[in-house]
Amino acid sequence: MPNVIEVKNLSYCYDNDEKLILDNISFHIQKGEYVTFIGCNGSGKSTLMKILMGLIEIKKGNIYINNLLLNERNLLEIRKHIGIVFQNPDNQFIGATVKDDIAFGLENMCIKQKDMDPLIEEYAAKVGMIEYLDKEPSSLSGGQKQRVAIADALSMNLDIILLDEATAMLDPKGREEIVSLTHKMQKENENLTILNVTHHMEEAFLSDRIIVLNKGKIVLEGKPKDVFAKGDFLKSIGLDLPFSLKMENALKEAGFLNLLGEK
Amino acid sequence: MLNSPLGKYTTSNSFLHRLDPRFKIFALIILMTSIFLEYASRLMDFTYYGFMFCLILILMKIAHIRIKSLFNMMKPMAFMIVFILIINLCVVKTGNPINIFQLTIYSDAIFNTLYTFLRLLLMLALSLILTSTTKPMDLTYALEWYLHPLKFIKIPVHIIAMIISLALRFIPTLLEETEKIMKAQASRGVDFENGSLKEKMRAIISLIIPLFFSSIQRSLELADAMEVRGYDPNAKRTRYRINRFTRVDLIALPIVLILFSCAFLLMYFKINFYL
Amino acid sequence: MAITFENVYYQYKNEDKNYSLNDITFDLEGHFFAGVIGETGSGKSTLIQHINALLRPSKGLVKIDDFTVQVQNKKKLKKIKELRKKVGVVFQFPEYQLFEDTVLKDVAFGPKNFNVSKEDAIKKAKKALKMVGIDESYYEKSPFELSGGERRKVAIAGIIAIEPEILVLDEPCAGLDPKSSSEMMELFLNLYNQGLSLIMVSHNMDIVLKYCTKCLVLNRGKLLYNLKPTEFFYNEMYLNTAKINEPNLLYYVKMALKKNYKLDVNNIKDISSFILELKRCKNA
Repeated sequence: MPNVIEVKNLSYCYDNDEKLILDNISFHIQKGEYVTFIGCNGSGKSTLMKILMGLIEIKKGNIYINNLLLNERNLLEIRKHIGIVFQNPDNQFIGATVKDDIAFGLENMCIKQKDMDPLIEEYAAKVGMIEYLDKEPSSLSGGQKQRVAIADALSMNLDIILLDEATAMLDPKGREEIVSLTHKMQKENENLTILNVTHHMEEAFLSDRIIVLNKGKIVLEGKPKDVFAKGDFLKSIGLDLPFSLKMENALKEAGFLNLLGEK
Repeated sequence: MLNSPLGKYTTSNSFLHRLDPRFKIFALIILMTSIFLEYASRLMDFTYYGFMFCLILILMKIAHIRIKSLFNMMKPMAFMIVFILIINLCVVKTGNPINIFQLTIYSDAIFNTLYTFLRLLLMLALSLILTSTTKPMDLTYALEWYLHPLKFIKIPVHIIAMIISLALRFIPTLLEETEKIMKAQASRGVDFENGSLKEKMRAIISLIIPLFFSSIQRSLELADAMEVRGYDPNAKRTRYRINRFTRVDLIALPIVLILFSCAFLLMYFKINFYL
Repeated sequence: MAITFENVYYQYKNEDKNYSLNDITFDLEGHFFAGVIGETGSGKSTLIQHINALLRPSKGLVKIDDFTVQVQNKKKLKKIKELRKKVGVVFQFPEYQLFEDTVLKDVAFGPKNFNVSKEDAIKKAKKALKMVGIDESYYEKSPFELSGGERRKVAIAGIIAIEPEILVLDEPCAGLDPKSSSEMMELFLNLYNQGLSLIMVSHNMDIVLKYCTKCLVLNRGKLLYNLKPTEFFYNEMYLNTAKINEPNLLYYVKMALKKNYKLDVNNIKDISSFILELKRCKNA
């Protein structure tokens, strides 16, 4: 599988600060992967996502997205491939209604007005919001607003979607909706790559690969099973294990292996 | 939640709701002008006002607007009307003098007040019909259309329209936020209702600063969200919401024009009841 | 310490006829750590705002010790202030309520409003900041230069510094990383052990089961249950009626029961107490 994102020796710090937010990071993401970034508050995950979107300018390192170098000249071309869902559902809802919000991106892409309605309906249906087309944001739940944000991203024909703590402000039901929706999308479209940033270890456990950040550095990378095998290390950098693994470990340690039969 | 002084959009699919907002703005201006025309006699004036009022009542019925909302709109005006009446009574000394107790009141003073009151009532009623049958967003787009000529003198009308529509979108969000912060500060012992001037200032500061901070935060995030979705204020973009001049407008337009022409002719030829 | 709700109804203005709170009656007495649970929109936030009279019931009455909050009566505001001194409320995402130019001043703002002298307010602020784990180097910083997690701690310190007798928390761990969340919960447990009573709204059922001594279960504005967490969570029928997701722990407890471990579920609150109980059964 070809790489859709390649990051080489990326470092970043705020202008007037000496502390590095990101410290010499290199990684690559393959087409169709579902990769989750975990790390405690302030580990640099969100900054990394903003850099990938070209919202923050970098000084050191190179980023290639679909083999295009991320710089000012290529930015518009790159944004045709990569989109992001932010944390706060309210602050990314631009239109007056669900319809208008999905239309906003289409308008920017100069889609003809008569072609918009079928597209809007298609993408709203994909995220299960077809019945809410005329609803205003104030009458939607957080999870529904985030679903619209995902429809926005899908409607722009992207092949990489970044989820920047998109579930952090949602209740368990809303989180569950978004997590299962993103996994379903990735299964249906093998060209779709998803990068997820989260504090929820259960969410991370479901992804193809996990990249662990701590103080701006990549400290661990691999399949969820392998990453979560290093429980003590994760705890030392402020992370945790998914509940099921914590339980398994505790049961193993106490010698109740017979309880781990199923699941 | 949002109580605009000009009334609130009511969801319905009446004839008036379906009209092109651009046409509705045009009709509003035309009808308001006709109210301010001066007809041949006082009797003619009041007859015309009466006719307009009946028309407005019919339109409100069609658009499912409750008469009560018109009353609610007039309530704050009551004080103003009384004030105007007192001023008129003191200043106007023409017309028939009427003696009440020791005071001499001139009939023109009462008529002047009545004029002001009726014109205000009709104007408010007309704008109530407009705002109740048109979504704020559609009004914005219609205004943008009217302001189009300003583009030729390099005024970025489309950006102004985008700003207005974003402001409209975020008013409910910010009101909610204000309420939340007020409650949080009340829990920390802030009293927003009572207290000395100094205490009140503190109370307001404890509300304004967090609100300001979070609004800036919001607008930064919103700007990012717009940028990543390909918004460029200077680039060409298509439009999803398009005002359409439809058959309903075609029927309504001549009605409004004929109405206005009649009013204009009545004024111009000073047509009166004695003719 | 006693909180009593007597047939409390609450209806938001200009909304449809549904009550946000519908005939709520309960008592919380003595020393408690109560969890308020229910789906989004079940009335949890509305309920907790009644405890310090930010909202007043449309019908019915709320008693907190000898304070009575009734239908919209214009009670003397001095009394409301006393009530708010007694009941501290931390809202969801409280980091947005900071406004002073330094962290220390912001935390001292609360006590000062309740007529504590400036020196004492600073003393209380320092004590509260220490409790939440914000060290001295932060005192003179602007709250706006802190990270989100730190701001949350400062905001919570701002309520603790008022020294309330009841602390009400609305989703205090929302959006925090695992370490900060567990630190936060340890802090609340600590406060509870020092004699404070707490009421916490939470969506995390494992946390409610582990820490709470009581749980109030809401559904569409009605109070369905007011029970000990173990009594509620280990009853399948209750869980289904309230449409509450079961705690993760429950899956394993059920499995152990199926395998004929004679567990006393009243003792099982988290993984470690579960293991202890398993060991006890094995030895028996």
